[in-house]
Formats: sequence, C-alpha cells, structure tokens
Amino acid sequence: MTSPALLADWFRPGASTTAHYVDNLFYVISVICVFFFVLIIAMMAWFMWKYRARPGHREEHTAHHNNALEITWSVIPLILAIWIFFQGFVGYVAMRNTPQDAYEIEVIAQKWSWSFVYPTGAISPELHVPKDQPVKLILSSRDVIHSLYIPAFRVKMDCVPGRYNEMWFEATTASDEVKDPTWDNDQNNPELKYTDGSATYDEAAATEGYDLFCTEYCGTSHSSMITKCIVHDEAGFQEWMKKAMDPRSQGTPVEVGKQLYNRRGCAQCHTIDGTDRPGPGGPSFKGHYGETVTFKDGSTGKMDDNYIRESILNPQAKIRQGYNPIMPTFQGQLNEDEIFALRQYIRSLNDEEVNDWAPKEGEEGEEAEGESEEASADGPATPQEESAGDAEDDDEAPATAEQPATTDEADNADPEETESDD
Amino acid sequence: MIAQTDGANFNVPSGTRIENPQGPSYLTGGGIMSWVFTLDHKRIGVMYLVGVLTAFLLGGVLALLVRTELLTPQVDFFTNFVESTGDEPNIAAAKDAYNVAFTLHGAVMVFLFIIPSIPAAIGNFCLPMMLGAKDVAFPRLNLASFHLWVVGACFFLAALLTTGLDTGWTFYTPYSTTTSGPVIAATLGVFILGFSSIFTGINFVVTVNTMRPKGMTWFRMPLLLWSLYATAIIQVLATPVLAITVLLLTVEKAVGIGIFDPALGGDPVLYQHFFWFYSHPAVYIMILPAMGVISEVIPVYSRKHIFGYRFIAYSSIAIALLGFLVWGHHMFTSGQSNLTTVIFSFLTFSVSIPSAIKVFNWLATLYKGNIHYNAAMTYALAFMFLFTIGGLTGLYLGSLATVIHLHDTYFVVSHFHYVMMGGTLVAFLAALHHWWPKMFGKMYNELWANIAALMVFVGFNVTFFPQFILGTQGMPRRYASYKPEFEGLHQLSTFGSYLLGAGLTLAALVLVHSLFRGRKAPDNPWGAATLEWKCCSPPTHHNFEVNPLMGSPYVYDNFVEDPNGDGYYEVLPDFKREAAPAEQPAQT
Repeated sequence: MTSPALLADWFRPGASTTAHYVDNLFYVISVICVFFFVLIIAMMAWFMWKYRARPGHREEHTAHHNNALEITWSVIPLILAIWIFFQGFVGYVAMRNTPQDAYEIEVIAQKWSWSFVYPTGAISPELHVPKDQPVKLILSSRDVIHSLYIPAFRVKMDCVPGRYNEMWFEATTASDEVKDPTWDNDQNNPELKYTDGSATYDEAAATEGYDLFCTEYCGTSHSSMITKCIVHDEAGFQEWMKKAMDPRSQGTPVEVGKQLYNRRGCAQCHTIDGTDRPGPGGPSFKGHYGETVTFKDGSTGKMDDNYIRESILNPQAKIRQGYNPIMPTFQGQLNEDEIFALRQYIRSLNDEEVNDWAPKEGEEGEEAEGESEEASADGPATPQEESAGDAEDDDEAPATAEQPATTDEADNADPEETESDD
Repeated sequence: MIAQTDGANFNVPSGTRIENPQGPSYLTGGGIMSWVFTLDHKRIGVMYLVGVLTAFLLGGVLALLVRTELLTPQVDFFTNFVESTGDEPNIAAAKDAYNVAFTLHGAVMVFLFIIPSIPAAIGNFCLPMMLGAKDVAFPRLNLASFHLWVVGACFFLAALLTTGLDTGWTFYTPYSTTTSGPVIAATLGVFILGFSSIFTGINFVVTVNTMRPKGMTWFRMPLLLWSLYATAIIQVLATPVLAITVLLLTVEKAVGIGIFDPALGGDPVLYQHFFWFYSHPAVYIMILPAMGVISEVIPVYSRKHIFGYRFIAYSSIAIALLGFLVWGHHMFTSGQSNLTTVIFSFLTFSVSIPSAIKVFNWLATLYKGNIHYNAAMTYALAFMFLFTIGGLTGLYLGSLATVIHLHDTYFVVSHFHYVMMGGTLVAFLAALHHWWPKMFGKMYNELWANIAALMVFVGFNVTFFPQFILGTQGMPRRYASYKPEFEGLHQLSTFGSYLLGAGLTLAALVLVHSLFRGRKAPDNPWGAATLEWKCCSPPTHHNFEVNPLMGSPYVYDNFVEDPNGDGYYEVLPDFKREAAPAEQPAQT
C-alpha cells in the first residue's frame, strides 16, 4: 500500500520486514478515523449552523428514539472494530513468531545504559545487527523495568527484571544506506546530539544508526538512555565484530577508558571535571584518586585501583558517605581489559601516571592463539601497532610505569583470558 | 413570549405559572464549623468543588512547568529550581526535578482532580436534587468521604513538600520500591482517597436505589444519574483492589516482603495487573460522569428531548461492566503471554461501541433543535469534538500491530489527554457553567465565559494534537530531554498549553467575578426540565419544600421564557391541571 503523502511525512518509513504490518494498519485506521471524524464533526457543524437559536426559529419535535437507526450505528462500528482487531492480530502474530534461524543477542538494560551481548562474547553499548537476517533479542534488566524501542523497526518490548522477554526483527536497510535525513538528523546538529551533554553512543554510530530508546520510565536519566541500532551488511558486521572482540584494537587504555566512560553510562552520574553530584549522582572521577574517603558505615578507605575495581564489579559494597546506593554492577559486562582501561582513564584524570596495555605475547601469547581463530589472526597485530603509535604520543609515561603495570596487569589478565576461553 | 403558539407541532399551553417557595439559601447561615461538619450534600459538594479546583490549579501549574521544560531539547528550565554544583548546572538534579514535576502533575490530576471532580463535586450537589430527594442516603458517610479526601490530599501535599516522588503516577515496581522518594506517603494518600471514593460510591448506589420519590422510575431518571450510578458501581468494586495494591506496595517498601520486587522473589508485572485492574475501570470513573453531564447539557440547550435515552442509559452500564475486562491492554509490551494479549485486544475494542453509541445519540439530539450557544453548550460541543478524537485514536492503541509501535510514546500521552482532559475536564467545565447559577445563585458573563471556552478549545488542540505526531514519529514519553528533531512540535505544544492555561484562567475569573458582581440567578435560567431546577437558586437547606412533580427530564414544552429575560418558568399544561387539581394548591 502506498502511503498518502501527508501521512508518509508524519509516519516515517519503516526499516524492518514487519514494519509494513504496522504502517499499513496505521493508514487503514487513519482512513477510518478521518472518515468518522469528518462525518461526526461535519454533521455537528451543520446542525450547529442550521439549528442555531435565532428569532423565529423553533425546535421541531422528532422521534425520541429509533431502534433501527440505533442498531445500525452500533453494528457498523462493531464490524469495523472486529475487522481492525483482526488486522492487528495478523500483524502481531507475524511480529511475535521468531524465525528459527534468528541471530541471538542478549540485551541487558540498567540505569541508564544498554549492554548488547553477542554470541561471540562481544559486548557493545549500541546494538549492531546484520542486515537481512532475523535477529532475536533476549531482554533482561538489572534493576527496574526498561523498555527497548526502535521506532524505525516498529518494535518495542519491556526489559523486566527477574524474567527474560523476547522480540525479533529483521532489518531491511543498512544504516549507512539510510538517506532519509529525518532518521539521521543528528549529524546536522553536532552540538545538540547529546541532549544533556553526556554522550551515550559513539560518534560514528551517531551519524548512521537508527534511534533506540528506553520507553519505560526508569528514573533520573530515563531520557538519556538513547542509543543507536546500527545495521551492517554481512561483511561490515564481521568486521565490526572483530573489532568489538578486542578493546585493545581501539586505542590506548586512556582512550578506550574515555570511550567506555561516555558509552557505558558512567557519564550519567560521574563528572570528569571534579564536580560531585550528591544524591542522584555520584562522586566525580577527578580529584579523589588516592584520597582517603569515608563510607556510609563510618569506616574509611583509600580510593585506589582496588576500590575502583570493586566499585565497578560490586558497587554496593562500599558506598561513599552522602551518596545513594544506586550504581548498577558491571560484573560480566566489562572484561579485564576494559576495567583496566577505565582505571587508567581515571588515573589520567587525576594526573597520575598511566599504563599502557600489557603485552599480549609472552605468558599470554600462546593462550591467545589457542582461543579463537578469527581473533588471534588479527587481534594481537592491531594493538601492537596502536600501542606503538601511542608510545610516541605520551612517551614519558611508559618508561616509568611499564614495570608496575606488567605485574598489575598480569594479575588481572589471567581471569580475563580464562573467561574468553569459555 | 408566553404564548408562542405559532410552531407547527409546538403549543405552549397558557397555563398557570408555578412559583417556587423561597427559603433561606443553603449557602447562608452558620460559621465555618457549620461548613466543616455539615451534613448537607450541597455544602459537601461545594467543599469538594473548592478542593478539586485547588488540586487542579496545582496540577495545572506543574503541567505548565513540565511543558516549559520541553520548549528546548536540553534540560535547562529545571536547572533554575535546583542547586547547581560548582559552575555547571546540575543536570542530574534538574532531571530529577522534572521527573518529580510530571509525577506530581499526573498523581494530583488523577487522584485529586479527575476522579473526584464530577462524581464528588458536581454529583454530590446534583444527584439528590435531580432525584427529588432531600439528601443522600448516608449524609454522615458523605461528610466522612470529604474529610478522608482532605486527609488523603494532605498525604499528597506531604509528598509534594518533601519532593522526590518521581515514580510516575502509576508507581510501577520495582522502581517505586527501590527509589528513595516519599512513595509511602503518596501511596497511603491514594489508599485514603480510595476510601473516600468508595464511600461516595456506596452513598450514590444506595441513594439511587432507595431514595427515589414516588413517580421517579428508573427510566425517568436523568442520564447523569445513570452514569453516576454506573460510576458508583465501579468505585465500589474496583477501588478496593487499588487499596490492596498500594497497601502491598507500602508493606513491600517498608518491610521488604517480596511480592512485586524481583530481587525479593516477586513479580513486577503482577503489580501492573493489580494496578490496572483498578486504574482502567478508573478511567471510566473519570469519563462516565462526563458523558452523563453532556447528556444533560446538550438536550437543554438544543431544547430537544435526548435521542435514544435507553441506549445511552444501557451504554453507561455496559461501559462500566466492560471496563473491568480490558486492563491487560496496558501490558501489551510487558511480556505477558501472546494469547492474553490477543484476548485483551479483542475486549478493548468492545468498549468502543457503547462510546460510539453515545456520540451518535448526542449528534441526533442536536438534529432539528434550537441550539443556544451558552458557555455550557460550547463546552459540551467542544467535548464532542475532543472526545471523538480521543475515542477514535483509541483504535490505534487497541489494535495489536500499531500499539506495539505507539505504546509509551507521546501518542498515548495525547490520546489519554484527549479523553481525560478534553473529555472529563471539558465536561466538568460544562457542568460547572451549567449548574453554577443553581450552586451559587449568580449569573456569570456569558460572552466572556464563551471566549474562555473557545480559548480552552483551541489551546487544548494546539497543545495535544502535535503530540499525536510526536508519538508516531517515535518520541517516548516522560523524557526530560529529547532529540532536537522533535523541537518544533514540542514548542507548538507548549505554546498551546499557555493558551489553554490562559483560557482556564479567564474561565476562573469570569466565574469568580460572578460571585461578587453577578446578576441574581433565576430558579431556572436555562429552561431545563430536571428536578434540581425546580428548587430555588441557590436551593434551600432541604432542597424541596414539597415533593416535586415528576415528569420527563427532557421535555421542555412546559418551560416558557420569561419576557423580562429572567430565565424560564414552568407552566402546567391544561390537561395536567385538570388531571391533578389537588396538587396545584400544594405547589403554592
């Protein structure tokens, strides 16, 4: 069904295989609504004009009821309603019948970010999906109810804590093929892209993805749970996956840490300019490293690498005085490399010396090769190039920090590798 | 004027003018305590009116704050209300302030304004008089219901003053059980307000069942009474479920038992089922009385007998009963089973039929009428326009394929504002203007009241129609900040809300002005045939000195316009005088 011009502008083009069920029914209901609205309002307006009180005009007695008429105008809407229900039912069945061969992605929602976990073990804050392949999302929540909504695909499903919900879609248009400026309006307004100054998705994704919203109210930063769904073609998806598997391929630890800070929801509560946000927020990443801080129970402790790590994995363990225990855990969502990167990023904000990635060869080199063929083929090569380049940028750091870093990293790197082996 | 006998089918009998006995008005006499402890349904109605209008003012101001924040995509307006940290405005706190504002707007409007507005304020005033009774069946219970409303409102006020109630008016778990806001104060307030609502409902059911005077048969009852009766049934049956739900929520939050919170082994969707099992029927607590008001106002100002009386009466009962079966449509995306979803979708459509019947009946009532554009009628016609849009857009939300896309977007926000505000509020305004002369014995300025009504109508549409478009384009609800592409429509909506606010302010000014400067109201300024117009304006303490004569509530032939422009008076048709000569002296 081709859409009327006005409605097409109003109701943007769908980009999934089931979107047409929604769009077609939307147009059909619109036609019915407009028909009845015009009918009722035109008659009302006509009567209002024709039978207005004026000198010499009197009401006329008419029948007080007319069963035939009343049954007619009850039965016709009833038939239409049943027909609309049936159309909706047909579309719903299609939207709820997940194809057998669907690619499965786990969605973990939490205040106030998304984690998309792929079968390969990769985790991303935006949703990356292959084009022309059914994708099944298994939705869960870590805290309160969230709801995943991609308007372009006309799909929505709640993420309810304590249960798994399921939805599926098949994207028909790769993100970078989207020419309709209404879908990627962001690039015209780089200043306004992050509506409250905090970035929740990366630059590249922002210009080419479909909007992905949270639609079930979830507290302070509900409106910041905006991210993107990026639809890749087959080759692009593999390429992206390779990169996503290895954080080291994306830059220095500080760069990766900064990216994680922006993309994994840290920015919603923790500033990087030293201003603390008590109550709904959290302490700043800047200005507290190495400080002795007081916890809620009155005890004190040092804000060091151990405390940062504990706060990421088990945030409720030690709550700083004056703050609410609202931070979600990132256990299972950040791998050791990423935690390392975040630590280095926090250190860098506090003018501490930062460490580079620990070399993967040596004690881990063998393991890495045995792990997965794709990752080992490209994986070690890229980070080496990257770190080589970075070493030139901040050349004073590695020299002094290399030694402690290796021991530090070695402790943490082992569990990570065992994790990836699974 | 009396003998306008030129009409073809119309023949005003040149009978005797019926005079009302005048007594001391219910408004005068006694100090403040005589109001606080009054058992007079009219005084309780007026106190409710003051209460709900205060709540409406509060909810309205919050709405304007929310809309002002949405003028721009960024969170900026609410940063003025929170302490900034350092040089930077505290965005997180501003977002919390926004969340608090929309939560309180919703909670205050629903629990303190819309639910009690027509049944408790207008209904309390009108129901016994329209029935021909001296009071409601249980005057003390009626007073208790008002006092409970005040206590419940105080809990809300406590939640407001401590601020931080940011759960949305639905208090969805597990957010409500984990947030630090004053959820317990607010839910206890809802619990108490629930009792207030139940008491009113019981009172109305018993009053209608037992206190109809001789001659007032079920099918001579004005349609407002049918709809209040249907509403009362919902209030009595559904409100206890809400009471238990919020009590469970309070206990869970206070003591930590696991009913809804999955962390404690509970089920958050169970909360939604409980909550909407009340709150969907509650939507009909809001709209049914509004439909009743419109069924009263349209015939009077069209000078026509209501069309299809019995269909309208039965459709009220049908809506009340079907309203219990559709709560599941609030959970279409919650992950409830597909079969459940399909069944609820089907049932949801069933409610649209009785609603459609009413609209067609009102339309047919206008046919060949003599339509007077008094302010009350303007509001009633605006109601028909807005309710038609509200009802038709319900089709998108009942249908499964489209609702998945539109659920929890601005489309829903717009839809329920069209029904609840365009419907209930506008009908409430119609009722207020219609019964104002009876309530306070004063006439307001018709011209200015009409201008206000038009401003409300235009402002309302400018505010909420763009939100349908926002919703279809994917703008989720309850967002403090939004994507820049939605800015234009949001701005239009905000400007509309300012016009709407100005219209409502003007309407308030016109009515308040009339209290001090208004012309004294005649007993029957509109020529209405229902019994409350047979009392004097304002009525005496016991409404009727003698039992009023029963007739059809929608036959206006006996009402003759006073040549001095002082309302209408009733003449007895000749045949009635002959048939009942004994009653005539009793009247004078």
